Amino acid sequence: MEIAFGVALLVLAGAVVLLFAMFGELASRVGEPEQGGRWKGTRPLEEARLGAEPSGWPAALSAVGAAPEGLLLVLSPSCGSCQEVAKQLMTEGGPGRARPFALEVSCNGIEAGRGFIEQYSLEQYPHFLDDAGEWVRTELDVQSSPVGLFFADGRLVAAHVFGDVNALSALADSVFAEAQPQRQEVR
Amino acid sequence: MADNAFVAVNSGAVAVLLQAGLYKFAVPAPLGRALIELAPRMSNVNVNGLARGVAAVEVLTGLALLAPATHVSGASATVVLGVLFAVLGVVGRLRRSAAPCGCLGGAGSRALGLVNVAVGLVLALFGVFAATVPYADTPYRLGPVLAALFLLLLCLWMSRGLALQLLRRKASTAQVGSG
Repeated sequence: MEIAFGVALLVLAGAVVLLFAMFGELASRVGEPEQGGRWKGTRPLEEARLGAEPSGWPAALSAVGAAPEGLLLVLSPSCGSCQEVAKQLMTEGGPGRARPFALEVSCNGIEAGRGFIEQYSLEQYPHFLDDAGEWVRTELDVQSSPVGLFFADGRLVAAHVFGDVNALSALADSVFAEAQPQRQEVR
Repeated sequence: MADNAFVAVNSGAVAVLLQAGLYKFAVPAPLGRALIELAPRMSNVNVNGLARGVAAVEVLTGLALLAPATHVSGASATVVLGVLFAVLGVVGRLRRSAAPCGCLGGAGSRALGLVNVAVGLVLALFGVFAATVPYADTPYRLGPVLAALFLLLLCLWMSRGLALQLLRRKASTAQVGSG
């Protein structure tokens, strides 16, 4: 009887631990509140394969992979936030010229991707139409968008979901500053 | 008296292992990131699956410590886990690991380092001692109750930030509601 009571209590305590764990995870994913009806924050993308170095780079993205610091924006025609980001790229420009940047468009068919690029006049930026998001999924485990991928010497050092290009640009400096000592150690 | 103290300490070790294991099982990503930070080559490995595997071993070890029939096996596994935690802590410290590992669940801001070394060594030493104690002769029936209480206290302590945040939000919502 004593043991049965103890075991029941232990199961309940275990359930509380699981509840707090999942609640904590949920709270960390909610992020900052929306501003003007649009989320303008950033949050780390948990599932991205940090530290990975893609085995091959599409020609349009090779400048990002070859640079000491490069930024790749993963967008998708079917996601509402990506359309907002695309509008912002069209009206306000890209995230600065300090480091190479390119677009990866995860699209359901190349035509859909091309239509997205044309609709928002994104031809001016280096871009790669990734059918079904195959490249970014197999190489980096990224299946979300919009996502900013930060590369240092071709290696993925950070991945953040974002709602605003300026917020991502502001984050880039601190991300690459943090990555600097690790890169020096690797060298 | 000494037997009671041993059962209490044993329950404390169970609580630590269950807290660490259950939290990691639900949220494996922090440990996965910390492992990749230590060894970038692991980016090609399913680190979340690996973290869940470690979590399952922690939970089973904790449960094994509670029953007289499996106590010695549990104690041996505790030694192995303790040494593993300590080694990871040393490597994390040497490589100046910065990614929170979520090793003991909750707070999550601590990277692999000296705390892991300390917890690992305490667990390993306890495991060595526990393996020599005839657990069936102790008031082991108290174990599950004590472990549950310690687990609740540990969980609340490790998640205190989140708990306070929820309480504050509730209080402010109540104020808005009454205003």
